[in-house]
Amino acid sequence: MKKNDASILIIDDDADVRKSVALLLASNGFSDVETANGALDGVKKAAAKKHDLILLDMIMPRVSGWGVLEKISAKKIKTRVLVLSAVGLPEVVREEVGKRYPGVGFLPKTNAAAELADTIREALKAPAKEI
Amino acid sequence: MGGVKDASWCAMELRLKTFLITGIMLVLIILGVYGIIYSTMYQNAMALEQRNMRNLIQDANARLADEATQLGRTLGDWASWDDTYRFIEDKNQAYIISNLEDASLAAAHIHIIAFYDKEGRTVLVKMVKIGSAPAGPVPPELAILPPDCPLLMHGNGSVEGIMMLGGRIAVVVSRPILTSKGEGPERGTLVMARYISKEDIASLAGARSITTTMWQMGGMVPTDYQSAADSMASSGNSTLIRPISDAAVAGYFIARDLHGMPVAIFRVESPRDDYIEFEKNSLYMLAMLFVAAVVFEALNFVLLDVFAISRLKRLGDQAELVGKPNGNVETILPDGGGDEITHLAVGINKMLARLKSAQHALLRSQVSYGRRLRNDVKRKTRQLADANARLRSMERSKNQFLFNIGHELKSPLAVIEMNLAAGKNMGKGQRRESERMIKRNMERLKQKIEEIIQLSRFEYGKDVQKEELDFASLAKDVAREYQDFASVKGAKIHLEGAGRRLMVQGDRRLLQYALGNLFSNAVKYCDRKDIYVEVARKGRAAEFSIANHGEGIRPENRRKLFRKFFKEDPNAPGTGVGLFMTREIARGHSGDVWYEPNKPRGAIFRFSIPANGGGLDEKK
Repeated sequence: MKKNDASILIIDDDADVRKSVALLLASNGFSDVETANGALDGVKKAAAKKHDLILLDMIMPRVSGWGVLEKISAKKIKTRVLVLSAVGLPEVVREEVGKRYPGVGFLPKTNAAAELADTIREALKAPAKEI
Repeated sequence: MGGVKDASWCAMELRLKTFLITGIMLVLIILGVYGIIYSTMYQNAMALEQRNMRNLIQDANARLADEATQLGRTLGDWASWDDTYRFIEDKNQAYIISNLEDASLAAAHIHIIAFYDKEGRTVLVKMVKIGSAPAGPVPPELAILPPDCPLLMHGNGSVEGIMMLGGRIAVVVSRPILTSKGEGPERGTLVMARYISKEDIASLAGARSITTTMWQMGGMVPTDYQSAADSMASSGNSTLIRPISDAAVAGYFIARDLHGMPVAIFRVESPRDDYIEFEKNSLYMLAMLFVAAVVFEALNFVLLDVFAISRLKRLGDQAELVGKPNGNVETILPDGGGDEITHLAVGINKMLARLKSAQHALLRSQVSYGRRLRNDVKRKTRQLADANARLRSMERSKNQFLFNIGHELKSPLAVIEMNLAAGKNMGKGQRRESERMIKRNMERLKQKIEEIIQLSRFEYGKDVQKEELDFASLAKDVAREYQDFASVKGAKIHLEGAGRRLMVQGDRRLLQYALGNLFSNAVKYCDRKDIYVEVARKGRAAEFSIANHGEGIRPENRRKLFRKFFKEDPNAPGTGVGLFMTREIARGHSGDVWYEPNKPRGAIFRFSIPANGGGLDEKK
């Protein structure tokens, strides 16, 4: 297991998801993982500290993942964003995200167990930038 | 046939109808009047005829009596003559030669002169020779007089009458023979007779136009005489008057001899002047009546036409103009004067006014109907558009639901997968937590799958399989399942009333799902504050209530809360069918579920279904 000290912020309204992703990342050698409960908490934490990568859920109460993307873009935060969503129709969301935010990656939540660590590592190779 | 007749009668012009009706009436009246007058006049004419004839008969009788009186006067001279007195005594020839001379006797119209002594024995019967004809034989009736002969019954006066002498009718008179001083004793009886000839009979008639004829009884008698005689005999009348033709009337009477026996029937025949006059008059009257009728009918026709029919026709023509397709309803028909036609015209005018107002009302109602129709169409179109929009929104909601259910299923699945994947490199503490997470999310998964199954059950008809169960105990079991979830959300569930049995007839799986949904919502939005649950009997109902102190439901969303696919926050996780199905389940159990705001904040949901009878009993 390769150690990785990249700082990662998990934004999700579901506590079990936040915990599970954190556990998965920890088991894959990621040591700097922070979680945010929902969009507002997430934007606050993203602004407060620079993160190498943000894992962003789309379906959240009050403010959705789209709202978070808007805010990060507006605040010109330089980071990498990977949308981790369990939406019913992932390909539709993937296309929409690619269209509106070309630098933002997409991974269906159900693929996370197998692909999340590799996808993050791959994403980290690209430079952090405004989305 | 009657109908056709009626139709042709109805089609007839009014003036022709009037003409026919008055014509028929007039003819009937004329006939009636004529009948009455005719019969009165006829009776008068007949009565006059009878009276005249009776007078004629009386005249004839009187003339006959005159004959006898005349003869009687001559006889009187002879009977009270001393020579005659002596002749009965001595029967001297000189008396015969000097006094009983044929020529002088014939001049006095004496045909027989007979002398009888006081015992009634025949002294002499002299048959007078008239003209060149020889004297006839002595008639047996005078040859010997029977003792009871009426001729001898003269007393001191005379006997006058008619007798049949030798088959001929004669006027006979008898007187006693006395001295010239009219003194007795009576020497005998002197009898004179004069035969009545056809000429004598004819001379009985007073005027030329009247003829009198006579027939002797017992011999050949013409039928009309015979029938008249029979008729008189049967009726007991001495006279009979009857017409023998249109031109003549006859009066019959019977002459009786001194014995009272009928000897001859006389007929007085007279022209029917009165009757003929009556006939003429009646025809004249009839003609006058008809002329009057024709004049009346013509006058009636003209006046009716002038005063009524022509006005009616004008009225009809005007009404017809009004009735034409482009006729003006506002045309006012003339209504001058004050009779029934004026009344009719006024009536038509009123009707036209009513028609006009009805026309206006119709127009108004057409306009308002059109407006109503347009409004209706607009409303229906709007309703249709609304329904269409609702349908589209439902379609969107359904798509959203499919999208969401994907999320709802995938999220716990991903959690399970990620925990399993992370499991290899976990510490002991982490592992325990991970196992709890897996279990919890498997529950979530199960619940979501259940939700889909239940939803489809409701989509295809409500299938409620009821059994008797303890609602309190069921609530307690469900509460236990959510205790863990609540603690994750930083809250505790407080359950009240679960210690008492509360029996209901219900579908266990559905009730578990419904209460689970209410727990899930209460926990999800508990805002880290404790949740209070109560199960209790309220009247006849078993009521489950669950209260939290989260944000509660915004007032504008409270009515939509139980709609299918409704989500207060469209971005929030969840499918939006939970409360919809909870309400369907409550209603499927003849109950309901409703929302109440909690104080000071938060939500209370009450789920109520009928409880079994018998009330609450303490659980042992």
